[in-house]
Amino acid sequence: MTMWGMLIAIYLFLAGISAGSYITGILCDWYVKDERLIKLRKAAIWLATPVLGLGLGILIFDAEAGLFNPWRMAFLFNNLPFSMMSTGTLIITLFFFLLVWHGWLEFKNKFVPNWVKVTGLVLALGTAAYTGLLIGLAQVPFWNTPMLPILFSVSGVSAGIAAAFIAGVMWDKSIIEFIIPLKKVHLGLLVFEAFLLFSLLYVAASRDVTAAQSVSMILTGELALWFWGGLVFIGLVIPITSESIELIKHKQVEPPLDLNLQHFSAGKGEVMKLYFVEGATIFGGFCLRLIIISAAIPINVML
Amino acid sequence: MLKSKMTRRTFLKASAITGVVAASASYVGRGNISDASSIQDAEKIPNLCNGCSSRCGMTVTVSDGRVVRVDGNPLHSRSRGTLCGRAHGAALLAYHPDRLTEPLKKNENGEFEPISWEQAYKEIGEKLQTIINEHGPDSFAYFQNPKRVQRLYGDRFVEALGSANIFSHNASCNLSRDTGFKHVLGGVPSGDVANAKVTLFIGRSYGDGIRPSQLQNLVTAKDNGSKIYIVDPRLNSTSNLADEWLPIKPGTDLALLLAIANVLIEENLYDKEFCEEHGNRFEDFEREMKQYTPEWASDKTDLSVDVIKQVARDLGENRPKAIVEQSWKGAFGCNYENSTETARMVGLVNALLGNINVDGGMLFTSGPSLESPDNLKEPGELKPRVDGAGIKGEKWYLADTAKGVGNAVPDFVKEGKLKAAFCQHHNPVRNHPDYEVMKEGYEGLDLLVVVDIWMSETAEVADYVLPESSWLERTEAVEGLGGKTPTVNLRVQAIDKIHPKTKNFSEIMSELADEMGLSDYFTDLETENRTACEKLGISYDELLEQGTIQLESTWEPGYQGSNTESGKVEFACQAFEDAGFTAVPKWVEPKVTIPEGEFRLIHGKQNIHSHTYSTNIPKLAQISKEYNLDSVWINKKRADELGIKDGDPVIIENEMHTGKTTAKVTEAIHPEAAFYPSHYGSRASLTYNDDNGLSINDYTPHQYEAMSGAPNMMETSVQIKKDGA
Amino acid sequence: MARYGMLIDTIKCVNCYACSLACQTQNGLPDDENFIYFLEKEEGTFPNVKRDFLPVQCQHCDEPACEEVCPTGATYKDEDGIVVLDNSKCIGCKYCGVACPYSARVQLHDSMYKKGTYEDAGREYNYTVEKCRFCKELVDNGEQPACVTTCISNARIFGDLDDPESELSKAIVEKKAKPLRADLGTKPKIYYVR
Ligand code: SF4
Ligand code: SF4
Ligand code: SF4
Ligand code: SF4
Repeated sequence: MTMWGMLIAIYLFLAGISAGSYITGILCDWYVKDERLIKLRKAAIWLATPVLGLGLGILIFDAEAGLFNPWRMAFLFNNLPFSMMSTGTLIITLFFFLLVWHGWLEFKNKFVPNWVKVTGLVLALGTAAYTGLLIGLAQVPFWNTPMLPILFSVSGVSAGIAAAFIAGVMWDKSIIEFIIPLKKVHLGLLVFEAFLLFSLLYVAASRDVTAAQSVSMILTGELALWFWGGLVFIGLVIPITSESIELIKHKQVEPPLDLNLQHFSAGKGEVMKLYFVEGATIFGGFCLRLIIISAAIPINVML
Repeated sequence: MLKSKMTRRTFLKASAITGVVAASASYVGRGNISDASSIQDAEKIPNLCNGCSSRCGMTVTVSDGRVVRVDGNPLHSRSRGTLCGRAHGAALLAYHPDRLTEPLKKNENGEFEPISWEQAYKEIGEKLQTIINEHGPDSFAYFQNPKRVQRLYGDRFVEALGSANIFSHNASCNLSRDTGFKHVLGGVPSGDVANAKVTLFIGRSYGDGIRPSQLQNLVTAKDNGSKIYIVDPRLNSTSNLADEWLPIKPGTDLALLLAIANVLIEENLYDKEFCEEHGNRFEDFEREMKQYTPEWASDKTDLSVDVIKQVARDLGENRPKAIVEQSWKGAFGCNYENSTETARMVGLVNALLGNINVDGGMLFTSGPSLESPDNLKEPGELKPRVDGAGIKGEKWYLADTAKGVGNAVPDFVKEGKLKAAFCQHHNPVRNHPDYEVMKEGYEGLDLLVVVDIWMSETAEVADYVLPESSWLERTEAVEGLGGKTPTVNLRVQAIDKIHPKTKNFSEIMSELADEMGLSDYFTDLETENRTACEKLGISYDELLEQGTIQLESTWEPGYQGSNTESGKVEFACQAFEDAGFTAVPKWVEPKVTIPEGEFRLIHGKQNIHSHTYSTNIPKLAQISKEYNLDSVWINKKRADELGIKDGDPVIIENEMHTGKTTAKVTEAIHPEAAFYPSHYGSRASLTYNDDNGLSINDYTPHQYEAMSGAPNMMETSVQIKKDGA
Repeated sequence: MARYGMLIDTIKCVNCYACSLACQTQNGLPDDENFIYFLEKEEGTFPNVKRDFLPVQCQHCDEPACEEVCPTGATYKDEDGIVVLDNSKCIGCKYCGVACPYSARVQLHDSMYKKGTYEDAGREYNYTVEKCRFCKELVDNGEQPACVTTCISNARIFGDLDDPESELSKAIVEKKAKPLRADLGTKPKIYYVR
């Protein structure tokens, strides 16, 4: 464990979700291009705002010296662009303002110019990547792998999609039937995440003794339950299996698609299942950050 | 095996909680992180450290009436400008939450209740007088911390009453060593390590039982290219300064010394001239040593024949600048049935090397003689010591008389010979083996008065506990130190009393003496100090200012005769024959043979602790906790056999005691030995050392070494197993 | 203008903790906060064993990882090469602590301020992420850092690396002292004899 603990894990997690949720909104617009997903889009963009706000709040809460001397927060951007903390916080702050604005436009049902979406997308991707880079650049052997920022980005987007699904379905159950294209993306991300995760562990274990200690802490040590139970089983196996099954099933039932059938399939059971599966993805995303943060072992300077 | 302890971050977190409690005792600092000015305005007051009994000269920086820093006094011959960790921890004692604040008396329910000083003096005085009237003055004993202020006010009090029963903690430290040295060399010399070309340390680790000047001397020796051997079942903290580690089987150092003597004589590497001229009955010794070949010793010690020969030759070839260091408690202070014999042999191997009182050899230096005012009444005839130390025909005839066989007190109480005792800054109940026996013994006294700054196991069984001012709150008696450059030193009060009702030991004893009509024997400290300085021809005011005054050297190199029966080095001692042993030292087996599968429980000091009291100093207790210092060292191979891994919880047990601790699994210890530091396992209810580990004294029975009466503290066997297995 | 550095001779070090205790007192740290910590390593098998002791503290890197990541600029290198902290800027984000390869950073916690004499100072120092500062206030005053003064075995030498005549510079050459993990690229200024 380094000086960073649970709070930073939560912060990184929330920032990732926020970015992912926003990206979901943009995907609804640009990728799925399905009018029936307006509610999901709005939910996704709106959800991103408080989640990011909460994340920022936690960051401030963890920086106690700043918390108790708030004016010091003004110094946060003093070390641009060298400090990832400065740069990242700047990105996040800009993202936050953009979210507020975008959300406001959505609320007023006003036209959202493309450049807003583009900027938002860039900032969202920046935020997701930042959550990985922040720790990836620290001198902790286990964190210094090129996979880490990508893993955090992918997992952030995947958890964000899950969160957006939940928010959207809570608002309107019917969208459950139109999110199949997004689910495909989601499944792809989950599979990619699993791949990244294991290659990260493999690379870490083979490049440095200390990093290898971290890996064994995760695989067989004190974090094993969080890893195998929380991250692998709940966070990856459950969503991947369930979404795969659903996609296969969906292929079979797709042709005779009609309205009655939709309403039938969006019944209570389906909704609960969605909550459960997406909730599992979100929980997995949290486990991932907690595990990565907790498994950090400082450099062995005694070599 | 490569092992790295990197748990800092975790322990910082884990200890954050205790810090809240600890802070109350540690507000030394003044935010000097950026507040440098406060330190510069501060006052610097000379003092003598009380972190251990070495009393290193130091300067206390006081700002706003608060201790903010301590530094070594460069003039002082023991600190020479540096201080060990204990000094920094002990600097805060005054603020400790466990401080006793007023006199306490035990009531009928066995609980302590506060009383006034007047009542304390009156009752103690009356009780003591009654006991002395009834049972004689020799039914009264005093346990002191052997410093001059204790001699002036404690010893003199006892002697004024007609008793010679003065004990110190030495029985559980160096009774055997002192006894052995006394008989062969007439006293304990100190090794001139800095100038020796070869030094052999036996169980003594300058880096673990620190006295700064000794460690500095060793570093100088190292810088000068001296050869350093460390004989120890455990690779101790001084090991990096040594050229070679001799991982001896515990309790067999005597065999090594006998073989060294054998090689020196056989190979004609000894100082023949010195031995024949200044040795008593050298021929007897020469003849006896023939049997102790390196081959024989190799079998006993687990050291190779080659190593034994190499050490002997290194010593012999570099004589007289080659020494076997005198040690302290180390291996033969009081630990084995053969410890006194080992000490005799250390003395005699040095004599073989012809190094007695020569540069780079074993020095006998003397300190300044400090006198009291002439008009003080002198004590009259004293009753013989209750332990019979130094009295022909008595059981412990051989034992060193200065310190006595303090561990035998429970026996004397049982036999009805001791009825009353005073005890100051010393904790015999915990510090001697077998807590139950000790506790029962001290409880059996009709009157036990303890003077201390906080409760101890001994204080808990006392009838009266009197609160002393802590060391930075009191001025003490002028004291002298020997050495090539002798010094006069003084502890000067640095801060106001934190608890107004506490008193200096000197005050307590003279006020009690007044109560008992003994005032003629005493005068106040200021008069004592001024007189001592005046008679010595130095300025007391200068001493108050500097804390230390260096005197002209009185040391003359060259052998000056010995303070022994024959006046020579006693290669054979009549006294030993008189006491039923052999005149020439001979091999003595350790009393306990360790059965297969068990361990010999050995112990030693840790450099941040002193005796059993410092584990209650928050800063030091914290270090013990952070670095798991209260673990038992077990050899890796043995641990593997027992299925014990580093850091595992283990149980140490024998017929006397069962206790839990954690294992430090290491290659750096002899397979037969289990090492546990001697500071832990307090049973007194104190804030910081409550529940802090095990005490070696719980595992060793109440027993005596035949020659000196020392408590044989490492004569015990234990089983170790994984907790829960 | 100097470039201060230190030499730690681990052959002479007996792991006595005096330096860390003296440091604690000098800086008014509570019992459980230390700017110096100790590592121990054991090599070999009985009876051919070696134990290494390594006191570690801020290495006063010439290219400090902590300074690089510090968002506020609270951590900086002063004109004498000492890496210091401007407590009044530090927000306690602990990024420096995570980035420092030598685990040299310590977040001050509040226990020290609530009791004792810190009432006024508390607000400024509380939760900031401190470290060894080579006892800058002593050094500026011509004195030695507290860890150096107390060290009995003279295992520590403090001085100016830019002065080839300093005891430090000479000892580094003579004893072939090297920084810890120079490969990490922060250019540490504490040299170790091992
Ligand atoms: S050795 Fe350490 S504790 Fe003992 S008197 Fe000297 S400085 Fe104090
Ligand atoms: S004070 Fe000196 S000998 Fe003691 S631990 Fe520190 S560096 Fe080592
Ligand atoms: S050792 Fe760590 S804290 Fe010190 S300067 Fe280097 S990176 Fe910064
Ligand atoms: S904790 Fe303070 S010094 Fe460290 S990186 Fe953050 S702002 Fe800078």
